[in-house]
Amino acid sequence: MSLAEELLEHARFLANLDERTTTQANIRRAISAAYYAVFQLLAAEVAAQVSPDLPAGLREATRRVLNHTQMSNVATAFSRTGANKVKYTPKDFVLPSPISKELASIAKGFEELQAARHTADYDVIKQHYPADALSLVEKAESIFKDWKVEKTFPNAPVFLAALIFGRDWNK
Amino acid sequence: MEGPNFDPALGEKVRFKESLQKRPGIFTIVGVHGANDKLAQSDPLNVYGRFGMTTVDLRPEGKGLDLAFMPLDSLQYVDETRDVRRTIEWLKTSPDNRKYPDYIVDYEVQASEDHEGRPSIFVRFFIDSDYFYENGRASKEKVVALNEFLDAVRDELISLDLDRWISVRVGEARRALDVAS
Repeated sequence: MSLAEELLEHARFLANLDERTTTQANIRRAISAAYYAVFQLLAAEVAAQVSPDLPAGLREATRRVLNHTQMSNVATAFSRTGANKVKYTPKDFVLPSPISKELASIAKGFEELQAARHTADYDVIKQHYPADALSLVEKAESIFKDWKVEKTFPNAPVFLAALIFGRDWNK
Repeated sequence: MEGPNFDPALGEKVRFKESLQKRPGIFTIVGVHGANDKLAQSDPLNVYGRFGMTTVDLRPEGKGLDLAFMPLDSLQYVDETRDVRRTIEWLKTSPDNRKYPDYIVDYEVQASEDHEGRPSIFVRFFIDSDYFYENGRASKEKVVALNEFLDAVRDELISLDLDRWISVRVGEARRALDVAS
């Protein structure tokens, strides 16, 4: 089982604890794990695309290059179904096909999960709800499913490359 | 099916946009003249109405004279969440057979910034916990259906082009205390 899958499983376990007795810590950790499951899913795909497997450790180290803010900006750019020109791609670059419903859903879900993770980890004033954790974990599960479909289409490598290079392509 | 009702209403607070007739301060709408209001369009003071524009009469907060027949296009609403609220109220009427789940008992809308400092609108729908959970747990089907609804709302709000990041999440309505027991 990959780290991403393990994190998703962990998020699922925490979110599905009895809502009558669960704690803020469980809910917050479920939300955080759901985000990191998706982050690690995409990070592994990006690293596999841009870095060789050998020498050992190079591909794993590549994941550390990814920046959460940059990834969120790219996700925003890819969140419009039907668009074929988006920010954070090379100048005048046209996507091989219009953004699919699945890719837009992955992008929107990533943004939402990242924002949720931020409040879950840092905002101690805001109350977090068990239903919110269930909803966000299900969103992460949908992203895993949608990615299985989307990764076979030609926009996938562009999206992955944008996640790591998007900020620097047009400097 | 008609879309959400974004018409101006009496009592709403507005301010002038930067671009036209810059007047500082906040105003209350005290009169509305629709684009098809022939009587208002015939008023010699209603310059914009003659071009088929909706105009409003404004009363300044504090001192100052009322302003008649101001073009709606030159104004912006003080409440940044207005169009979002209007859209949700429209969705509550189940337009085009879209389902508004009956276990949603309330919602809140807040304008703020997200963790990246982006101007954002945060919507939270509150569900009836007694419906949603059974023995402390929710079925997968209910969670999936809930997310379909939240995603549909988010898509509808994104289509408003508000230039705001949109978050749509869920919360739980506080259970009424059982004072009898």
